[in-house]
Amino acid sequence: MNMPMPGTPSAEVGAAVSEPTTKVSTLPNGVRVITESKASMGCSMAIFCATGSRSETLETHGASHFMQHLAYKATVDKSHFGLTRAIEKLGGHVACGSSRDCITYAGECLTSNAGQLFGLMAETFLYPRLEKLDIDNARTLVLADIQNSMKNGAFAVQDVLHTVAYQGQTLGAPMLCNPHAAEMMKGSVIEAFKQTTISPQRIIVSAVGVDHDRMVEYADKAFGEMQPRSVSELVAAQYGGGDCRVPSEPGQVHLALGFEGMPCTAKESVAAAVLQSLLGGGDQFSAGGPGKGLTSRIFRNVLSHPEILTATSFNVSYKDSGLFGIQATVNAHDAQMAITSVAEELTSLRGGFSEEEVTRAKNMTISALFLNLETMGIATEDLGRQIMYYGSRKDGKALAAEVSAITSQDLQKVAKQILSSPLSFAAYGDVAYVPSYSEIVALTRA
Amino acid sequence: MRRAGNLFISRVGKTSALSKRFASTVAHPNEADLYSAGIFTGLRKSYCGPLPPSYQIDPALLKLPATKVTTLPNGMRVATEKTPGESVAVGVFIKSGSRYETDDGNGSAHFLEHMFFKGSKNSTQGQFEKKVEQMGCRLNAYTSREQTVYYANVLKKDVGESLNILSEMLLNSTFDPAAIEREKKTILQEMEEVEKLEEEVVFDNLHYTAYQTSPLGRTILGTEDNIKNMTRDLILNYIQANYIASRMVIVAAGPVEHDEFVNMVSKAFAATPTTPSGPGVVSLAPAYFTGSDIRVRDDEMQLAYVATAWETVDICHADSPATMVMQAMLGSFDPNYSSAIHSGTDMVSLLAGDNPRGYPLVQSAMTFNTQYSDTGLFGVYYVAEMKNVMEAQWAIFREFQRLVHSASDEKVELAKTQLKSTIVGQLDSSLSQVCEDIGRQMLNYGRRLSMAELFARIDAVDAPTVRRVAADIFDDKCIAVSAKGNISTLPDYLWLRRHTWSLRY
Repeated sequence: MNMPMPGTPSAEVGAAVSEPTTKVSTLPNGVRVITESKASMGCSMAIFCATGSRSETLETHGASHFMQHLAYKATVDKSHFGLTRAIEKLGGHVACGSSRDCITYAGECLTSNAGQLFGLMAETFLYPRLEKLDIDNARTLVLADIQNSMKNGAFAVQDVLHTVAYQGQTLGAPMLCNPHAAEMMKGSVIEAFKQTTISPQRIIVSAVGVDHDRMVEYADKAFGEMQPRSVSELVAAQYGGGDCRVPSEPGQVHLALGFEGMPCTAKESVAAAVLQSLLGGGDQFSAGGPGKGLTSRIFRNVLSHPEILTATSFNVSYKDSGLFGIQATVNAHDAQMAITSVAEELTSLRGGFSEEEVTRAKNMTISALFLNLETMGIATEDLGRQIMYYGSRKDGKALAAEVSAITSQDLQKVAKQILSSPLSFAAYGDVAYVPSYSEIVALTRA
Repeated sequence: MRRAGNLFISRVGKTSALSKRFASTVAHPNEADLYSAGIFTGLRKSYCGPLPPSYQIDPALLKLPATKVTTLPNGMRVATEKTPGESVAVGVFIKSGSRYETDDGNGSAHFLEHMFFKGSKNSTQGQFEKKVEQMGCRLNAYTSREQTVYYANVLKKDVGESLNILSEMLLNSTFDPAAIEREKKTILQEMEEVEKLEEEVVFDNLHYTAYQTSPLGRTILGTEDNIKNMTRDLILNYIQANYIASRMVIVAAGPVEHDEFVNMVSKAFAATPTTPSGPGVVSLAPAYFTGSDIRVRDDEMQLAYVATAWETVDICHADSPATMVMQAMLGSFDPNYSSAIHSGTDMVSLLAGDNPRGYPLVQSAMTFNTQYSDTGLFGVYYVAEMKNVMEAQWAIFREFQRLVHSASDEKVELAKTQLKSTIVGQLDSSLSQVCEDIGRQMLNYGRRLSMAELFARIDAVDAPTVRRVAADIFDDKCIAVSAKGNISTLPDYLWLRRHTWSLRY
């Protein structure tokens, strides 16, 4: 390997690579296709459908979670075996994820196999087989997911926080299927969910590394014949706030203090992102050197207490609402102390910021943005989600320019706006030592 | 951070020319000369097999960005790959890891990696961290057995500054004795964390037993006593012996101009020593593979953690691409991948439940292919319930025998597509990966392989090649076994050794 192989070009020979170009097209039935060019042998593709747990009704609860586990299994035309082998043969890596407002089918492979892999991705999305056996298999996976999520405190506490923030409706609807609903799930429920929420105008195809015209061709082949359907309108999320504690295993407790953040369509969402970098956070013991936020506020002021095991700021944005706050993990009896420290950090946001720390937070936000966009899969997701939320795309440079323009006044304004909403408090784990809601509210008012 | 070699799809390289330069100048005649003199030509061909006569290089392969390489007068090499974008990954790759430590200095390579972040002549630790984060830069580092890597992710306007930061770390660190004392606690804590990870323990033990008596068998973290007794002198000895310009490669991937970057590097790293000195200089002890086993039995534990390894070819060997294909042919079983039972990778579907028992034999399994400059370990690591250990072990040996006797064109082609897709996907996952790939290839092969060459080398692997290489490596060869946990059902060494060959098929 240390000697060149005769007949092959040296690595020193190569082509100049031009800046990536982004193109968007809309198929006649409303399916949108967005692609970005990239000089690579590989590509990344995704199908987004703007539906998820927030679009479920009482009757269809759990359907999106089941759809995630029906993905890449049997389809109307192919067996699970057949589909698995077909994907393997293309060297494809596939995944499916369902969230509160979106279900995503993603795939990566060599560009030469893109068309075939995309065909399989669309097939599993549109035509999963919904017979009893398939539902039973998915049920096993769904139930296992529920089990695992209960062990993942950081995830569980966010779910609880969403529930309390949105009163169990829309974005607050449980993301995972309820175990009872899982036991009762039938193919007809999933079919009904698909009929009422999936329509071409909600479907977005995004790809990095595939020629735009080719991708349009693939998308047209897969979705071109779909007829637009009248689907139920999205119910706007109503933020409420409140208190919810879910007791589980003794020992540690996971805490989350959140406020209504910025929806990603609001122009203040950029300032909220910078505010999150400024708070930063991390684990008490974690790998990595400077750059992971060692100088951020949470690192300096909250994680300086060795009792606080993890503390991170979060800023989740949806189309019409968002959540902003800090979550932390501590041993149960340290709950009071952790909440005091976290609340102090949140209230101090009202107090203003030094220029140095604003510059740092802005630079960290910009570099995190570009670092994320280096990853082909994330870039693909970014393309699709931007189309879903905004209907158009802003590239990294445009976003970075917006971040650069943020001033400390902007931050203070958005911080005050966020903190003026009612507090949502969630605790998960050993909740015995958690102070009362009114005490916590008093701490955040200070 | 420590990293125990490359356990997954391994496209890592190590040059013989480089790895042997430093040690052999002291103790042996240059081994690279031996190869070129033809003594080992039977072992080492320039490529593994002829390409099919009508082989066409895919034109898309010629449109990829080039890697430019410059060697500075002091011997340091600088490589860049220019791609559009806003962010850049900069890496310093040093041919030095735990393998190059003295006996009582075991652990210093890793200790050192921690100390570089603890302040330099120009700035204290706090000032240093602030400076780095102020420009949105991310620094990271890891130490493995044969290399140490420092890398920075920065915006393109800050590339020069990131080089200054890296050189300040590497050339001007103070190694304050008080900070060394403080860091001992952190490293002991890291050691505790590592010891909780069964996989890490099993692989450390595997190296320990496979390379007993050789520095390659030691752990990266060092022994607890060594950490506790670490001194400034041991650290300085290690630096003087190993952080030498000719053993360093500086890489940038992203929107950078090669010439500009070379200039910046030659300024920032002008003070790098060019000759090794001091008591830390060691001659590279060859790593002898010893068939053996090491078992840490604990019946209180729920699961068994077992690694079985054969000695594979060194990283520069012409058969390396064939071993990568074999690694893809055997595959890995991830329990979260619910389609594993239907996988076309026989070992995966078998372990996942496509067997007479009808249930998974293991919780997870992984084929590893860890190559070093003169040796390597190829095998399977799995986690299983005690009652399934023997059957899983038997199934794994059978799959290795199938590679030797009945690897088919169909399976080889399948694995080749998957391997290419994995390689490409890995490079597309971040610029840090591109940087890492360039740096490792430069250290290991002394050059960067073009993607076209790599694809051609993979395409040249066919079923007869796989059967030949599999026979060379696995058929009736000694194995190293490392097991931990509830392993009372793991058969004795002779049983295991007996299953590395078969009379049937």
